[in-house]
Amino acid sequence: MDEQRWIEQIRAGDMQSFSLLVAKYEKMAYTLAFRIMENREEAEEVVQDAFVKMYRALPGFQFGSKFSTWFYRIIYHTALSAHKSRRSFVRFEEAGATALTDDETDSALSLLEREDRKEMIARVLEKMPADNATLLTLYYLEECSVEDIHQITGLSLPNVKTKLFRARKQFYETIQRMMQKETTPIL
Amino acid sequence: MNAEDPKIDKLTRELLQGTAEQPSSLLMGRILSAVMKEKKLNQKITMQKLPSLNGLAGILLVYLVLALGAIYFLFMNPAEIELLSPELMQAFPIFLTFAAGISFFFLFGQLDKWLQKRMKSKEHD
Repeated sequence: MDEQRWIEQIRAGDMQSFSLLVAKYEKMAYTLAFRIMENREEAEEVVQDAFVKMYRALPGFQFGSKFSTWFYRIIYHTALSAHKSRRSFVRFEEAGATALTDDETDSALSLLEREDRKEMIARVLEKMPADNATLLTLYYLEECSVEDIHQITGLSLPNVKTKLFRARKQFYETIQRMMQKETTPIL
Repeated sequence: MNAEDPKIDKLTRELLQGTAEQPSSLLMGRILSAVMKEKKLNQKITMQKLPSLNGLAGILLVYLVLALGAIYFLFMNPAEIELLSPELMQAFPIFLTFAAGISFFFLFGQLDKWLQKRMKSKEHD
């Protein structure tokens, strides 16, 4: 509700409401841009561009969809354009994903209890292809629905589901590999 | 996704919780500064904007209707015009003075508005 009032005030020229909107979305916008760009400076550039684009497009926003979904779409496409020269993002993993194994789930569960969980997860996401890390961030961190992700990325609904499944499988595989690497020297 | 999804979803959500990246403290300032620049640019563009095409068409239409009305009146009442013409000729300078006065008032009004906007914009810069 607050958000709608801010948007109306921004349209009327109020910059303070815009700064409130920036404060609310800056961190998530940066996380999303960073997952795609894999570089802090470039991610900040993308976020800055995306906020300017959002400001320009705001008079045309009709509240037909959630503001967050609409804005994430701007960030996603701004980052994608900036990332165009790199091919890794466009290429989704084609290998078929199977269900999670018990070992993979156990590794993840043991990671959950560790104090350095956040650092470990950040490293896992960095090791994953940008497209998969982005989907996981949108679905599990930002709690976007499959429909929201479809609107943000332009992927079809079945495609979003398949890619999410693969991304999640890869996430757990990477966790297991990292945990194994850590324990191997001890053994 | 399979039957175990809710459990795995919950675990994944817990794993990812709190892993949002922290941007530099300068980012917010940079965003606001970029948007302020954008806002000023928009103001300048609005200032320089000519009347819209619809506005110009409207003005032309009004003048056209007035001219057609006058021509129609002249054609329909040639005798009356002849009678009125000496009086019209006398009133013509007064009419012209009024028209010029109104036109100048409108012109300087617009010029004043434009100068005020320009000064405000310079103050912001």
